[in-house]
Amino acid sequence: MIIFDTVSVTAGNRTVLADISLTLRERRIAVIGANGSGKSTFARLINGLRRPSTGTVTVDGLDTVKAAKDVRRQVGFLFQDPDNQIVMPLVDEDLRFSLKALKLSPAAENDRVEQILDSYGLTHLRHQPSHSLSGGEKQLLALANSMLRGPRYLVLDEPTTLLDLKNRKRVMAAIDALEQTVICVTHDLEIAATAERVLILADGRIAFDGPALDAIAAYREMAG
Amino acid sequence: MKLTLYVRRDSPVHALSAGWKLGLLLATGLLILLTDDIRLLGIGFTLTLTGFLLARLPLANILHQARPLLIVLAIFFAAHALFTTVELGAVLTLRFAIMIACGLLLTLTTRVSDLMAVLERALQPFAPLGLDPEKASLVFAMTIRFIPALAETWETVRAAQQARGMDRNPLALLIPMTVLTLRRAEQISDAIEARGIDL
Repeated sequence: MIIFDTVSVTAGNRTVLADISLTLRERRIAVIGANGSGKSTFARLINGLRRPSTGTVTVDGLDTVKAAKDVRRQVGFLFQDPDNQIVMPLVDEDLRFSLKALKLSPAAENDRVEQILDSYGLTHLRHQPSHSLSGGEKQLLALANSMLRGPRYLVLDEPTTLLDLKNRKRVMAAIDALEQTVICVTHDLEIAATAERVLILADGRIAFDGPALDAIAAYREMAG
Repeated sequence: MKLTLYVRRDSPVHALSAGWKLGLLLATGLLILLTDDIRLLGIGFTLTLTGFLLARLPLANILHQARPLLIVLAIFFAAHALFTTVELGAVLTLRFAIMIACGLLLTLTTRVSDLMAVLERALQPFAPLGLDPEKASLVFAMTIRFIPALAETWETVRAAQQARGMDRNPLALLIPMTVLTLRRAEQISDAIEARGIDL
């Protein structure tokens, strides 16, 4: 369970998020809103990449500021551009890099890497340079990386924006198959339509919170 | 293939451990500073090129990508030949060429994770002085990983400014390049932290 308790975020004089209080229990949650509405900041608060200026965010009782390291083991994060998420030059090197902090034995590390490569259909690419992968393969590698440490939650920040239709389908199929709770920040209303709960952010505030169909209708109305 | 990134091959150069290769690079750097004999430097350069052949690397592709470097070396040699002596120009150019070629041979035949492991071990004695070996090796890995990415960003910025007829204006190139690089650095730093690696 993720709890936002009177959370505000300011940057200089600008209020990015204002007085957000909510509890997220659903397995599939979408966050939609115009550019600059505070969606990405909202997503980054969940795994402690951004600190609230006031209020607290907790994930299963863990404060995202005080227990940031533990929270990050529980919350995987998938960014919009996989090129900035893939750190090491080769596919298997990049996966091993994610496991470094866990200090596993070489055998356990190998097993985990093999397992995750297999799960995402990336085994044949294990020795390939990551920059040579297609957009969809890169995003799948970034997703594999996010899932490598066995998180309970996955936050997605516009995961399909840079993908073509075929790769979008491939990545979304992999995400749909996840057992984890997924919080997806998106502009894609098709993705939002599959969520159990949709939040609309406008000017840093929750403008709507409810079922997908109602949220999409409200969002269309807000957009004019 | 990217000039600075590992190319997988089954070769004796690839099989040599990262520690040995780094040691050889260091020894070569010292040795070429100790001599100004063109014949010895010529032999050193030939040996380095032999390393590329032994490593079964695509030499034509590498030379093509290294063309800007070769042009710089040629200008460097020509400047020395004009203003000092041909001999001095040849010695200095050969020294640079050997070091650049050795560096390329190292990065093209060694996985970055193996280099990181060696660096972390080698830097351990400096940990009591406040140096974090893991962070230092991460900086090294990032540099190698993102050199080609920066080159791509540069090409994108140049093409965009060319389309506006501003590709000869240094500010029109440097400002977007700096902004894009800083934004990318922030995103990469977020991505590393999200993986549970402390920065």
